[in-house]
Amino acid sequence: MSQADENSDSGAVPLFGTWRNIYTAVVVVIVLMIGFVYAFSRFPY
Amino acid sequence: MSTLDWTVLSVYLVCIVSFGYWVGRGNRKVDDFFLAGRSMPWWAVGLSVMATQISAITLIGTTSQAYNDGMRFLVVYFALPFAMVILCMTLVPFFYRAKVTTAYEYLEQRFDLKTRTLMSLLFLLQRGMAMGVTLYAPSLVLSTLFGLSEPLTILVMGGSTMLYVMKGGNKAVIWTDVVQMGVVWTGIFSCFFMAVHNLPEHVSFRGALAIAQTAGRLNATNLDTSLETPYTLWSGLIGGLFLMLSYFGCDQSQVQRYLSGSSLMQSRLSLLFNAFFKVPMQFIIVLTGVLVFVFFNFQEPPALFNSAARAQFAALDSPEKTAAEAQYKAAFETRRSAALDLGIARSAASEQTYQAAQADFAKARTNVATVYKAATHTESYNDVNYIFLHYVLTQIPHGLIGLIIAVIFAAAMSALSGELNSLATTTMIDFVRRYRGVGTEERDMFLSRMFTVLWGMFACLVAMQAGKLGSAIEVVNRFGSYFYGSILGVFMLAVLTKKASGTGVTLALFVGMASVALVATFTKVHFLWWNVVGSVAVFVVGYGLSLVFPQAAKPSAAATP
Repeated sequence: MSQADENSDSGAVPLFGTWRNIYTAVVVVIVLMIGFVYAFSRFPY
Repeated sequence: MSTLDWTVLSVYLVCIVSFGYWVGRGNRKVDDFFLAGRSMPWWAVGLSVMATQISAITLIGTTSQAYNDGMRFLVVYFALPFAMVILCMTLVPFFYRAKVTTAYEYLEQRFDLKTRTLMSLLFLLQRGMAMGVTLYAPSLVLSTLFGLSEPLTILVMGGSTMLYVMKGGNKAVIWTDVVQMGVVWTGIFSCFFMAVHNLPEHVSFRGALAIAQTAGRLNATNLDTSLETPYTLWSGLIGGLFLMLSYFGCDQSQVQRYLSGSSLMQSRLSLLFNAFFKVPMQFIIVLTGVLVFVFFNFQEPPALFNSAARAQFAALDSPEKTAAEAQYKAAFETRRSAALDLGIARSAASEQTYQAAQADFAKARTNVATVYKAATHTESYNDVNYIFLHYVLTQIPHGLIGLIIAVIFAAAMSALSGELNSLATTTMIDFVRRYRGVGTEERDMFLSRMFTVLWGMFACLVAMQAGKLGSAIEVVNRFGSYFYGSILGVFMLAVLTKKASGTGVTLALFVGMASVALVATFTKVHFLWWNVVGSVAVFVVGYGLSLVFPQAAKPSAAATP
C-alpha cells in the first residue's frame, strides 16, 4: 500500500477493510464487554 | 527477596537499559530523536501508548484498591475505546495534516503563538511535577518493603531510564516499552493464576466469586445517577470519555507516541489496538486484586500492610494495642469460618453471616489503625499501595517475586520514559526552536539530550522532596484534574469550530479552570465529572468570546475544520 493511501481516509484497512468497519467493531466489542462485566458482577454465583 | 529474585531483577534492569541504549544508537537527526523518524509500526506504538499510561502505582494501586473497594474503578476505562474512535476521526488527522511534532504546535497553526506557549507551559508544569510523583510513589513502597534507601531507589529507576532515553530518544522509548509491556503482561497473568491457585482446596473459583460478591467486591457497574457517587457507570462513560479524550488527544506524552507511526493509518491502528485490549487488561488487573481479597479471607492478613508501621505497632506496649490485636484476630477467625461456609455452599443465611463477619472484621482493622495513629501521633494512615506487594512478597514463589518487582520497575520506567521524552520535546520544539530558531542537527541533538537529562534530574529532585511536600503532591494531582477538561475544551474549539480565536480560547481556558475549581471546592461532585465541567465551560465561553475577539490572522488551511 502506498504512503498516500495510508494517509487517506479511503485507503484499505488491514483485516477490517474500511475505517467504518473497524470503528464499528470497536464500539460493538466495548458494548459487549460492558455487558459482560455487568453480567459478571451480578451473576448469582 | 531471595538471591534468585535479586538476580532476576538485576538481569532485567541491565538488559532493558542495554537494549534501550542499543536500539537508539542510530539517532542522527532531531526528527529521529523526537518521533523515531516517523517509522514505527502500529503494534509497537500501540504497546508504547499502553505502557506510557500504566505507571507502577497504577499497577500496585489498582489491585490494592480492588482489595479494598472492589471492581468499581474499572468504569474509568469503559470510555477509552469510544475516545480512541473519536480521536481517530478528529484530532489525529489534523495533527498529521499539520505535520506537527507537538500537539501545541498545532495550536499555533490554528490560533496563535500565545495559545501555543500557554498550553505548552501548562503541560511542562503539570507533567513535570506529575513525573516526580510517578517516580516517588513506587520508590516509597519498594524502599519501605525492602528496607532500601529511598533516594537510592529513586536514582536507580530515574537514572537508568534517563540513560537510555537520552541516548535513544523516542525510538528507545517505544522499543523498550514493547519489551516492558511483555514483562508487565507476564507478571499480571502470573499473579492472576497464582491468586486462583492459592485459593483453599475446598473453595472453587465460583465459590471465591460468591465470597467477593457478598463482600461487595464485584461492584463494577453502579447505575446510581447521583453526580456525587464515585465511579458510577455514567461518570465512567461520560466523565471518563472527556478525561480519556484529553489525556490521549491533548497530552504530549501520549500524542508523541502515536505521531511516531509511519503513516496516519499506523497511528490510528495503534490507538485502536488500545481500544480493543485496554479494558480486558484492566479487568484482569482488578480481578486479581479481588482474588487477593478472597485469599486473605482464609489466611490472616496483617492489620497494617505497611511494614514500617507494622513494626512500630508491634513495638507498642499498651492495653489498647493488646485489645485491638485480640479483637482483630477474633474477627478474622469468625470471618474465615463464615467465608468457608459461603464458599462451599451459598445460601441466604451464609450470606448474612458472612456480611456481619466482614463488617466486624473491617471495624477491627480500622480499630488497629486508630490505636496505631494515636500511639505514634500519626495524623493519617493509608496503606492501600502496600496490599498487593505484601501478597506478592509473602505468597508468590521465589524467582517469580523478582519478576513481579521487575514488573513494577518496568511500569514505572515505561511511564517515566514517555514523560521524559515528551517534556524534552516540548521544551525543544515549543520554546528553543520556536523562539531561538532551528539550529544545526548537532546543536539541536545536543540540546535535546541535555533537556532529557535536566528533566530527569528535576523528576528525581521532586521525587526526593515529595515526602516533605506532603499535601503539595495532592495539590499537584488535584491541579491536573482542574485543567484536563479545560485543555480538551481548547482542542474541541480548534477542531470543531471555524470561528474560535486565540484570544477567545485563551481567556476561556482560565474561565474553565476557575469553573472546575468552584465545583471542586463548593460541591461534592465526583472528580470524573470535573472534566465535563471544564470542557463545556471552555467550549461555550470560548466560542462566545471568539465572537467578541475574532481571529486577527487567517489560520493555516491544514489546521482548520
